[in-house]
Amino acid sequence: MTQKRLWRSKVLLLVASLVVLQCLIDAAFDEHSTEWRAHQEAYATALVEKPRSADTPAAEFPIELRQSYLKHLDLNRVDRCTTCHVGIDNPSFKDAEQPLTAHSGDLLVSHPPDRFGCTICHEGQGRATDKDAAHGNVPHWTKPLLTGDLTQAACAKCHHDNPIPGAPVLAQGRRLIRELGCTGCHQAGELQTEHAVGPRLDAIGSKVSRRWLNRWLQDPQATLPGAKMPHYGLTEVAANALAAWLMTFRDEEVDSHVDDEGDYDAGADVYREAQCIVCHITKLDYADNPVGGNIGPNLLQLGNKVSQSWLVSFFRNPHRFLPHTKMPRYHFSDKEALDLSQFTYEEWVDFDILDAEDAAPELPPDTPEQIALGQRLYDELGCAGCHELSGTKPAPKAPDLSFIGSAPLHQFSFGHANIRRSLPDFFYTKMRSPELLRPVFSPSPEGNLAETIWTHLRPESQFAGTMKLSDGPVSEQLGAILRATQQSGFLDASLSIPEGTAAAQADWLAAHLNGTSAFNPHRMPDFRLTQEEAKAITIALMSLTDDTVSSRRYEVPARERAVFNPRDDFGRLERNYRCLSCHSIRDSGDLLASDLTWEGSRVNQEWLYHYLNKPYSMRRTITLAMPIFHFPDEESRFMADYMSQVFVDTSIGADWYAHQDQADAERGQALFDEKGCIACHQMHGSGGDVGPSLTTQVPEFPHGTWVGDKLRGGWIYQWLKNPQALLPETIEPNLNLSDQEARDLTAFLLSVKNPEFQKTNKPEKTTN
Amino acid sequence: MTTENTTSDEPSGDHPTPTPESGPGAWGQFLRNLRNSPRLFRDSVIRHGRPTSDRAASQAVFGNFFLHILPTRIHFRSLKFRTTLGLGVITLVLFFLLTATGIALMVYYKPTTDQAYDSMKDIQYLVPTGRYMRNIHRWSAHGMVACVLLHMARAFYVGAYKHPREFNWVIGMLLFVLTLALSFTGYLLPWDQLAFWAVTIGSEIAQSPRELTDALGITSWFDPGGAMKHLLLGSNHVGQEALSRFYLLHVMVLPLIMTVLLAVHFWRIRKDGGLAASRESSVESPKPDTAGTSNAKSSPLDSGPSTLDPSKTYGLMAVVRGRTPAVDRVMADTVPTYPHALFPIAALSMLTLAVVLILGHRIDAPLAEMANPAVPENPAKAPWYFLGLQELVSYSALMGGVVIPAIVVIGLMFVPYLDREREDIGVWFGNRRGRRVCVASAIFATWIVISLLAFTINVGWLRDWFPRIPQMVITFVNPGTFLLAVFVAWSLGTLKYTNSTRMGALATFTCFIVAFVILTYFATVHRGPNWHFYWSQADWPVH
Repeated sequence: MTQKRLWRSKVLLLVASLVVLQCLIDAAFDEHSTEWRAHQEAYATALVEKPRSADTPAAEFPIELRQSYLKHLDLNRVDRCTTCHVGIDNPSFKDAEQPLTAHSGDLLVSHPPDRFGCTICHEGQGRATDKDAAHGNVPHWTKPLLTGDLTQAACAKCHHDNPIPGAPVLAQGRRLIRELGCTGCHQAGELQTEHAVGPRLDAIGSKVSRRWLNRWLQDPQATLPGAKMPHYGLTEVAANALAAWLMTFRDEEVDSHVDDEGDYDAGADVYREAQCIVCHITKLDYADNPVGGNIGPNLLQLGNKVSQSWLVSFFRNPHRFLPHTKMPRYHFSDKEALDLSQFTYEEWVDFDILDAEDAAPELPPDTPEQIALGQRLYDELGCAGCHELSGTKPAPKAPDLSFIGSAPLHQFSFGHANIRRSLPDFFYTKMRSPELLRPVFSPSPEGNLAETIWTHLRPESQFAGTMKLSDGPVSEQLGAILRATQQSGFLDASLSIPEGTAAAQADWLAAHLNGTSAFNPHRMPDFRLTQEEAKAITIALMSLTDDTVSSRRYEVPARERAVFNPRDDFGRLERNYRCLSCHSIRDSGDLLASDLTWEGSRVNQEWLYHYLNKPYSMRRTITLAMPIFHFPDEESRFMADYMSQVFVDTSIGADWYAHQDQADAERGQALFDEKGCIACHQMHGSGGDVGPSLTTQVPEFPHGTWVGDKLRGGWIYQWLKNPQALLPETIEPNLNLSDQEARDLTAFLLSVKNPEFQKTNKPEKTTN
Repeated sequence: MTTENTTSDEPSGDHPTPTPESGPGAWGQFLRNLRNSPRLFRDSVIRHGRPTSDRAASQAVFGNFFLHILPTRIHFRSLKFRTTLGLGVITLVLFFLLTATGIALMVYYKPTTDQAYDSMKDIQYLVPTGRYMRNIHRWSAHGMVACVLLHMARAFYVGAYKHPREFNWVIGMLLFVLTLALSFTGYLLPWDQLAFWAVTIGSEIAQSPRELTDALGITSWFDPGGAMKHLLLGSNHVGQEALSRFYLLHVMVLPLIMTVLLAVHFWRIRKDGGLAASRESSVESPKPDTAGTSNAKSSPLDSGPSTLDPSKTYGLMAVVRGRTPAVDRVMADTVPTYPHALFPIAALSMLTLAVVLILGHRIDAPLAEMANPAVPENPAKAPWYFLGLQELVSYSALMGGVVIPAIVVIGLMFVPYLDREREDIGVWFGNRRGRRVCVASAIFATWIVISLLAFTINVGWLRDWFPRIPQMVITFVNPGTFLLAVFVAWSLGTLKYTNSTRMGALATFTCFIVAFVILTYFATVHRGPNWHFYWSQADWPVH
């Protein structure tokens, strides 16, 4: 008996020992056959074929773990990514397969891994050595890998510039945050806008038509495609109430023009000179595509929206209504403003909409309850975050975004959304599909169902004075709640509670109320962003982090930026005419029109004065030009004077002024023909229209000037030597002219003067 | 048949005295010694030759420092697997594994709050076989706690605590507490969210005497709770001090005490006559145990007192069978330890090792996010062996965390002194009556625990009906104390009904084990955030 037992235990010992041996062998094998080893061996093999340089053969490539040990450089991390990504800094591996691919671009030149590691930009779990764990796609790691454009969010940890070079998507996201007015409700640190992004609403009652306002409040993007205002999901009743309240804000001066009538045809002339089409879409082409600029809003349905009386006031002084608009204040006389308003009001109107509005039933008169409801809606929905309106409270505070990029993950409520639990996923979903993240209220089965729903609504806002439910059966109470919410506009008036148990009815009611803003007062509206926009904003939000580097070795302070905003008379004129809406001066303004930073060095003062009085197009093929403002003479004189003296860089063309006596215009002409300039610049009627015309011969502009009238010699010389130095984005080729050639060519071009212009003007003093 | 070294021309270990005149003789001797040195070396280590005879087998055990804690001969009933299930061996093997892997982990683990978590990551991802070491350590720890519990149950149900083994039972209880302490101190070391909050809860339980002193208003000058928490943490909160303390306890102090107590535990097993078996008689020994004297009557199989009494505690070197008058039938029931005990022990050890290695290969030990004092886990659960306790703590911290465990441990320690019946030792549950008592107690305990849990969840407890009731009342009248009282009543009732202290003891222990299992299961599966009841984790509120 004991022998049998002994024999059995010996067999068990043998079997168990074999199992243990197998386990140990497995362990040894696992250590040897790690993922990274295979990758490094593949790299070593490939290295033999692709050595770093032709001269040095590939040295013996050691197969070992690799890491960037950065605990001492204040980054406090250890990154082992280069264990698998061995080829990351080997340019000859640009086309290899992951993980051996080299890093894209030349970022590793300025950010070498031994000083920066990898996780500072890419996040993930630096200490891990297998793929899923290293990429952070494991439970309990809250910062998964950022790839592609998402890494641009990390630039902000060290770079405090704006925009950060090499991070275009980040710049786009930051720009979107500013433009869409997020900071009206959210704090966002350095992205705070100084003023409200929406228009001031003080005269809104005198400005817009009621029906338009109703449509707009219900769905802004349907009313005006591309509208910045987000979608609040208001029902008809709610939108009507809000509109009722808004329409009570009237403006006396606007109302005083109610009966004025202007001359349509005269208005058309004014329109043509004002060149509205430069900034606004004002017509459709033969294929019904919109034509016009996109600096200002699309005006094709202007007549449906605004009243003519408002247009009159607006044209006289736009800045009274929209202090921060880009629209300049034209010098319209009262009659011109009236005529223009008549023209625009009658011309830009969609008759189908008008007919539909006429056919629709009459709106009932507004009741005081509706108006009160509208005011409450305005306060609660946070309209004050984007719009200024006298007498309104500030918008309710939304979550602070100043350091949202480094907020701990547990602060975010993902609810039942089926998305990865990470910050980028949360932001993206919030931008694109916010309804997925909306907290859902469900009445718990215990307790009084109707009571629970009632108390979770927003009684202080909607039902003040009617806060208690009457006693009675649950179904009656639920019915009362339904009626109350329909009256206040949260629920569609056509709904009715289905038959069923009280619990089922309560669920139905809760589900419908969850779909509106009834339970969640500060729900974020839907901006209807595209995927690209949502991604850009996600990146911008991720860049708002307190995870900055405190070591001065890594910090890159912001470049100093020159902001053009003088407090002198010129500045006053600029603010009136909004030159920077189209032109750029230093780093301010827009790139639509020419850069004026060195206008004084570029053009002759006389030319500038005449141009300001009567602008014209520089190319035969383009009819649009600077709008005709009809500046008073002293203003155009002053502006030309100012620019010629202030917007000057004396180093431009210094060489020309020093040696212009050595220039030969004949040689220059020969060069002009030889280099083929005529291919892009037309002269005397022949040539290309890519670049500006060298002789303008447009009949409307009798003072049409030629290049010798307009440009200064020093500028021409500097330009010919290196166009990109003066205007980086120009397509004028750099012909590598020698100094003498440039001088000759300049001399030739300066000889191209319009004798008529010269006759009427004083000869140019060469100031230097 | 003894085998001696016959291959050399001289007896092993003997060297000829070199005579001055035997020059070539000494040289030849030297060469011969050099040639023989492997064999000589082997024979110096293993002095008894191959253990093919009983004598050599006994010598193999007796002469070996590591093995001589075992007797040279062992009763065949001690070898019966079903009696002990080898749980003691398994527990010991797991302890050795823990020590070995623990030492390996100590090479890379860094016990500071800013480096502990990172060093865990390094062990997992960087150190060769680090992942295994950690996994083996973790699964051995869980296994050891489970096996210690099972071993305790086995010892109880077999009656191995009875006289003369009472003291060993006490030592065993101390070892049990030490095992839990080791597991708990080790739990903090990874410094992740799991660890941090589990220890926070533990320290708050240590502070729970304040429940009483606060109610009495004496905390300002008598605060054992606060003192205990401070002793544990070295601070008001879990931080570097706690980590240093726990590390010291875990790697040095507790293992040392454990080793010493283990040595005493094994020593006592030998001195008390080996594993408990029903050959023990039912009469208490008149004198304390001294080596060489008879301290127990012989077994019923004996024809009478004998000098070769099986409960004697010195070992025989050999038994000569056959024709001498000193042959004793009882001795014939023993077998040499080598190989009849050593091979099963070796096999069981290897099997344990195999299971732990397989577990370590397949299932990774968890590591949550780094400890963050600002973000409590919800629910923050203790390790599984403390979850039953945590359930009781949810009723009253003092009672559930301090008093009831103390009563249970001390009560269990006391059992051998209260139950001194000597029948049916060495058999599971003793006899049929014992089996019936255990089954009845199990059913009763199951019913009462589940009913109590259902009651507290569906109906509530005192504070739901009397919101202003003083805390002291809750401390003394809560489901934990209720269970304790009920079990004590049941045990005493069983004792009276069956007229047997053993039956009472069986009832007590069964109630305790069943309640432990059910409460642990309940707190593991059915308790969610805010310690609310949920049918499953799928029902927890989402975030």
